[in-house]
Amino acid sequence: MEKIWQKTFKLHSKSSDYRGKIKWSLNYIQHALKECRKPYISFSGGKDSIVMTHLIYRIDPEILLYHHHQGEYMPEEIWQEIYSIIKRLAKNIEIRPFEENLWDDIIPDFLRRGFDGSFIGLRKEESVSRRERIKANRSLTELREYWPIQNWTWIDVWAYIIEHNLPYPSTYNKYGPLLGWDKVRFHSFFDPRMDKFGLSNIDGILMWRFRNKK
Amino acid sequence: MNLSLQREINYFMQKFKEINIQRPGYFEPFKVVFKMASPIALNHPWMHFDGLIAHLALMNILGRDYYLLPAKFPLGRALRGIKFLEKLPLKKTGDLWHASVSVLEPYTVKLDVIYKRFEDRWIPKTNKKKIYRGRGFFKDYAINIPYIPAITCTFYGVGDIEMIKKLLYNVVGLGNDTRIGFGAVSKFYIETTEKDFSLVKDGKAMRPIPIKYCEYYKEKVPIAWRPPYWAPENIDLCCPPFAEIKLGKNLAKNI
Repeated sequence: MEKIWQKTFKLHSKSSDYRGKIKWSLNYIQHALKECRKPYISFSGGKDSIVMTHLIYRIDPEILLYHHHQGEYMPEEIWQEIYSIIKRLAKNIEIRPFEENLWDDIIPDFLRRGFDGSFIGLRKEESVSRRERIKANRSLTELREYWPIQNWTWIDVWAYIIEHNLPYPSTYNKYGPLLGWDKVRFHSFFDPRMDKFGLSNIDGILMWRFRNKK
Repeated sequence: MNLSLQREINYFMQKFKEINIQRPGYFEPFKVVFKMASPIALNHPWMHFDGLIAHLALMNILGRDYYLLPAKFPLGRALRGIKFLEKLPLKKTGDLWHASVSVLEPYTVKLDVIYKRFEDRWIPKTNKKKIYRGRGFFKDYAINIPYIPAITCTFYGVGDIEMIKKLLYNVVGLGNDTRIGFGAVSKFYIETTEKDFSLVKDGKAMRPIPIKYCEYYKEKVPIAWRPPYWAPENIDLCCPPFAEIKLGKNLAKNI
């Protein structure tokens, strides 16, 4: 990350607005933990998941961290990076293979094992559909969803990462300067599912090593 | 395969058989420098000189028919028996062309976004009186275009300079999206070089070289190494351009 952005995020981390958001999120998590007997954390490997996981583990470090592998479009090198981040953040880890389906395999399994809630790193700022989903308190599965960083902006997320010196995937450092730190997102490469975000052209020039690896 | 497509392929096969491709003459090492008038848009970090020459040679042979090539059936597959690619005015050792990838200076990647907008020609496809441009089939897309604001684009090679010069006069733009102004070439010049820098320069690979041709390589990546570069059958484990390399004896004695 460029020094100017590091300075910017550090300065932002001193603002009262940012401090207020952390306080709100910690209260939200505590409230969720009172409501839920056995929740888990949905971890994608992106910056929002990292921040949310760190916030939750400040209150209860024993919660299960669940990660769904992104499949053949996630290069082994990047996956190893995510795995090292997961290991640094969490003790209680569960990684599910790409072949398993969320609705058919994973959620029924979690329900069977007594899980009753999930923490998800959605933010209202990300899209209209996410804002509407949070506003309507609509969960995608039978498990109740909690969104601890729903009110955060991209600058809050980066400020938290810089302030706490959290690890994040190196691909952000490649895509961030090009796309902008507000637009950069964690994704698999040369993935047809990501075409709608127009990222395949940039993958070609920045991640050419992975073009034929799948 | 439907009948009209087969007819198209037969037409081009016949045309290739009738054409008498000029045989290249004297080969010497050279350097081509393109002076750029606008940034080069790419979706890969470099361009391949042998790919560029093959494209220009095909344009030269087919003339206006080049623009009628069957889009849904890559002609390269049908033309394999004719070995059009064997007659390029470039030196070849084994299966490896002596042609480098582009050296772009200065090399920094920037980003632009263009918008694919709804166009009238799509109207017959729908019976709807109103269409949505915000979502669905007619959605306007923001397309990311990475570009390199290079001032010069240099290629190294070994070949028939006069024939290459003739082909290069047809180049008006390099890279992607030349129709919207990217990669415009203002001028180019060719000069001979003392040594062959098309494969290795200062201990670094100048093009993808399959590891079977290498004695030492610092990195290996599965990438295409001969034209056509889009064809999956041309992908092999290679030492990528600009990585440290030492050529195998058979190849090294040919440069």
